[in-house]
Amino acid sequence: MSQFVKEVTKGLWKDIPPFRFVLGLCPTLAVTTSVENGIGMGLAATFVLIGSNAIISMMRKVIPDEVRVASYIVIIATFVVCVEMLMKAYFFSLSESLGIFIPLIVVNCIILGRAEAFAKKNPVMLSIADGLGMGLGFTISLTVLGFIRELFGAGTVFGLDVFALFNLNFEPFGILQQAPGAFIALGLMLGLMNVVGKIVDNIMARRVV
Amino acid sequence: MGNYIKMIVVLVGISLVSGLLLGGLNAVTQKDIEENVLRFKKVPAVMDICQGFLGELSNAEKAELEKDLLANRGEIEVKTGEGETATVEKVLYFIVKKDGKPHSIILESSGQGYGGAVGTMVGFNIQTGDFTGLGVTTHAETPGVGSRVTEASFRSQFKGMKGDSTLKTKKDGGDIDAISGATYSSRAVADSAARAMELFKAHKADIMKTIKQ
Repeated sequence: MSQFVKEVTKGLWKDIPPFRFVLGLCPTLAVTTSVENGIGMGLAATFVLIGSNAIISMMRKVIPDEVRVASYIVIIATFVVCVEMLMKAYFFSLSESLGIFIPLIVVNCIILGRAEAFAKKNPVMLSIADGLGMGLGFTISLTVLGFIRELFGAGTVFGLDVFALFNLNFEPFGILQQAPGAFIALGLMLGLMNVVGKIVDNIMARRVV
Repeated sequence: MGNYIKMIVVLVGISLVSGLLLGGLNAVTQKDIEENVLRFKKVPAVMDICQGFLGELSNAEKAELEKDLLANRGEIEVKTGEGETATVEKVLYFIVKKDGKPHSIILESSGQGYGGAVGTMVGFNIQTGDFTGLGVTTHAETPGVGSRVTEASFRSQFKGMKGDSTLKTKKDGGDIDAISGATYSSRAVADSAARAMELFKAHKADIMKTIKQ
């Protein structure tokens, strides 16, 4: 059980995607124009990650090494199409705003990366934990990035004009809503995480001593 | 040798299970998806066309129009091909009234674009046979390039366009202004307009018969 918890929590800070691996940047940069998009994309990827990790781990002794990538892609693609159909049927407006990036989860490096690096050599429960942790980490990252870009780029959160709510006069930085803004916000967050990470590590080190 | 057989069996097995699963899920979700596309894509596109000749509508009038549209829709069956290879395709249409009288027929159509089919709704004036407008419903064109065919600045040229216009882009010798850099996508919309015109001419009488008094 403690192993399960450990695999989940490593995805939340120590190995949090996309910041720690700097993988899966395409959806990270493209869809995080709003909090809602960030959460939606993150949860869709989480579902695919858990599903593909579970199935790949279950079949790890059956799938021959020579055709493993082909097998993984078919398994991942199946889950992605599932998500796409379910989203279109029950969350239509979200699927409209995420558009092409839902089918593109198939080629998200994080998912194939976890299959190669974890699911193919670990038991099912641990692989599910890994998928859950990585997925939640991805969701948190996208949500935070979406929050920053929506708040400062459009002046809203969940489409709600928060500055007007507090009677503040704020001129949004429109660039944050566009592609260069995505890179700027991502870069700032990466830098901030490194600084915070170092401080946390220092504190931890002192405690141990 | 045994290794090869194992590879083939595993891959075939995975693909088979995956195909069955997706087929099943498709059967379950298809109806909901079609209804969503109708309500959130087709009807808004039709309403947009309607506002071209009905004028700006208030929210209450919009809700009224939506109800009216959903009640006054139907499908025509279009046969293509001959004999055993003939396929029957169902084409959605809406009848829009102005001042209580049938004013426009709006037909669903599509054309082949750069990234697949571009779905449109095309409106025709019943009296004059001219276009009353065009709306794009579904497409997979390049974002920011081909996707500009959905913008009003491109679509508005169809509003009031004469029924005897040559429905090709100017580059192909027609009357439609293409978006520069988006030749394929513009052509797809022009093709869809031409196809809708064909259907309108061929089926106008049948559609008129279905109008509820």
